[in-house]
Order: sequence, then structure tokens, then C-alpha cells
Amino acid sequence: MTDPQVGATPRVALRGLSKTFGTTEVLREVDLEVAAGEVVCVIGASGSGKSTMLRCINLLEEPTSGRVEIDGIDLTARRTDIDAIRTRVGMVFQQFNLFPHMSALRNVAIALRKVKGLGKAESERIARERLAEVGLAGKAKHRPAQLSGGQQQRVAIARALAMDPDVMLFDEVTSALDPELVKGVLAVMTDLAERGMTMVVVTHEMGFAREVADRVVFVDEGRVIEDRPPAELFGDPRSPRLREFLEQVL
Amino acid sequence: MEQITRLLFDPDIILGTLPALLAEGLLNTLYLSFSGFGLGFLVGLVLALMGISRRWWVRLPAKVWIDLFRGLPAILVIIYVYFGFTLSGARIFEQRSSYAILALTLIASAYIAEILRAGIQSIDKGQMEAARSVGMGYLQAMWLVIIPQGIRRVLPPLTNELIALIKDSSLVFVIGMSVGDRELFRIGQQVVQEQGNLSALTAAGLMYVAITVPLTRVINWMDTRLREGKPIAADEDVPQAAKRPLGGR
Repeated sequence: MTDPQVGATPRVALRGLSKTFGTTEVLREVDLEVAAGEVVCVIGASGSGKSTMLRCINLLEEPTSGRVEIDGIDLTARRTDIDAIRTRVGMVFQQFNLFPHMSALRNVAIALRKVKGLGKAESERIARERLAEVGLAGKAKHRPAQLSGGQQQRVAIARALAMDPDVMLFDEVTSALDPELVKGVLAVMTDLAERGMTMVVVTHEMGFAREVADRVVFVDEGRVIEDRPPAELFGDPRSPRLREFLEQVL
Repeated sequence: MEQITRLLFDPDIILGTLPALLAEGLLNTLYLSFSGFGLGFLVGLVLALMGISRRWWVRLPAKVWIDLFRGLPAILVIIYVYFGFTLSGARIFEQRSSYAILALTLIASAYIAEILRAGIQSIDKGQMEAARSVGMGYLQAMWLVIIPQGIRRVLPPLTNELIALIKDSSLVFVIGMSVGDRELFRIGQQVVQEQGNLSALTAAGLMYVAITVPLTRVINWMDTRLREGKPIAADEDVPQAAKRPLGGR
């Protein structure tokens, strides 16, 4: 939660981003900038396009038009090496998506070995550190199926952090968790924010957005409707759509 | 009645054929079918990956290949491969068994490709997304993440295909393997021609059953385990089962 640097190249920038599935317009001319060290929470009803917006940032969805930039590099340009960029953009999914045939340790270590090309000892050392950071030092040898949902999600966070990314994307990461497991995951995310990680967080956790975010972005029908600091946005929602949304979720 | 028993179950003939069946036939049957299966698996894997490509011109040759070798009777493929090469003068192999393995590879590859494709496509697409999101390329993600899971899921149909291929390997008798290279059926068939009695084929048949029945047992066991899940060692320290990825490289 450092102060965004004014005038510097934004870490993440979406410029005129549009996405259509068939005839459905999911995103319409979205503009968004996230400065280095900033935490931006994205809220909105399901189907509003917020997850698609997030998935465009590392090109898991290909935008129909518009640009996605990481540190000024245009990801949609043909010559951009998307695999290399993705190592700098960590992503955590709603359904965890851990590799079920690998231990927690190998889940975290595998990209270090196979993508970054580190040795076995080095990659396992880093993986153990990351697992310790999310409070799972003792679960290194466990398979995902032997872990609770909350633990699995923390392994997934460790897996993304292992690549030492510049940005972390979170796609409704607590939505599939039992309520009592949500806290542990949010604590890890809060800790990460306090250490200055740039984060874009699609979430239904309004408490987290209020307390941790530098800015909250409200998305409705594929457009960014409001983009303000949490105290303002929650304290004084301007658009009727946001007021309606907040009434339903709070 | 006694005549039928003599015709099918003459103990002298069965016992007399047994040494050749065990020492020569069994080994060659296993050699032919496992080689065909192994090579067919590699080709089938490539075909499966081609089959799920987004580009039609990658999918098309795989589709034609699979339709062809699944559609033709196995014996036709064996005849085409062996006589096609040898009679046209293109003697690419020295040994007849190599032609037999090539033919079995072609047949197996088509079936295995379809099995593997189904396995790969059954894996949740979040797995590919997670692998790509940490920077893996498409083929790398396939190899490290998707294929190991996909194969595990289709072990029962793959074993079925192995059984089918073991039985199909009997059809290479049309090539006319010479002594030393004969598989089970060919040995039995030759004795039948010499003696005018079917008991030697009974003995050969028993050998096939002796190979395939244990394999079907393995399938049933895998099926149950896949359905009910692996027994999990409950607590903390290093569950043995988790140590070694099943079928992992």
C-alpha cells in the first residue's frame, strides 16, 4: 500500500479493452490503470464482466479489441512473448486449480524448475520458503486432495508467488471456500498487500476491499462505473447501480 | 462325445505342444503385442494432440489416420504392410516380425489416439490455465500437467486396448513366420495342420487366456480405485502414497 507514483508507467494498464463472446459484449471499452504497489479491488454482480477483465490481464482471455499493457509492454502485440510475461503476473483462481498429481511442494516448485530452469535443490528451497510464508511449511509432502480448501488456496498463492511476480491477480479466490476457511486466505492476501505487492483482486469480500484496497472499481455490464478509494466508494456511492449492488451485498 | 474330447483336448498333443508354446510362442506374442502397443502409444499420443488442435489442417491428417486404421480389419492392415512393402521391393526391414510390429503399431495407434484424446479432454480446463499462468508453454503444460492426469483417467480403456492387441497379434500368422519367430497361434495352427486335431489350438487359446485374464483383473482393480479414490494415509508426515506420482515420470 505504497503511494502510487504519479506520472510513472502504470504496472498494469487496460486501454479501450473490449471482449465479445459470440454476440454477447462482456467488456465494453474498459480503461484501467494500476500503479506499482497498488491494491485494486474489483467488485460487481456476477456476469458483470469483472472476472473476464481480470483474465484479460494475463491473456487467458484474448481481448476482442483494445490493449493490455504490463509496465508499458503491449501484450496483445504479436511479437510479445506471452509465456515470459506470464511469469511476471501471478494468478490465483476460484477453484484453486492445483495440480492434483503433485505434492504441494512440487506444485510450487515445478515452474521454477521447468520454466525458470532452476536446479532441484534451489527450486525446492524457494518453494519451501513460499509455503512457509502462507503458513503451510508442514504440508510440503501432501497432495492437494489431502488438504482443506483453504490450505489448497494458500498453496496456489505460494505457487504464484514462487515466480516472484510483479503483479498478482486474484479471481474470487474465497468464493469456493467454506466460511471458516476464508479468513486464513484473506490474511495471507493482506500480508502480501502490506509488503507492497501490486494486486488486482476480483472479490465479493467487501470487508477486505474496504480495509485493504487503495482503490475499488465497480464494474457493471462490462463497464467501469466507479473507480475510487474504498472509503469514498462505500461511503458515498454515486451511481444508482452501485447503490443497488451494495444494498444487496452488504 | 469322446471324439469331441479327443479332437479338442487330447492331453498328449496339448502337453507335446506346450514346450514350443511356452518357449517360443508366448515370448513372441508378448514381444509383438507389447512392442506394437508401446510404439502405438507414442504415435497415438501425437495423433491425440493433433486431434485437439485448433487448426483444421493439423486435425485432418490425424482424423484420416484414425478413421483408416480403426476402420480396416486388422488382418488387412497386416497383409498390406507386409506384402505391400515386400512385393513392391521396398524391403524396409530384414525381419518379418518388424513388419508385424509396424502393422500392429498402426492399428494400436488409432485406438489409443482416441482413448488418449478423451482422457486429455476430460481434464478440467483450469489445469491448463493454471499451468499457462505460471509461464509454461502449451506443449510443456500438456506434458507436465495435462497428459499425466489424462492417462491415469484412461488406464482401464488403455488396458482393454492392450488385451485387444494381444489377441489381434495372432493374425500375423498370415505373414508366415518361420520357426523361432512364431507366435502362439501360428504354432498351434501348424500342429493342427500336421495332426488333424484341434488340441494344439486349445493349448494356444489357454495361453491367451492366461495372459489376458490377469490384465482384466488389473482393469477391474484400477476401475474400483479410480471410482473410490486412492486410500489416503490420514495424517501429517509424508503419506507414502503422496511420495511418488502414480504413473508420473
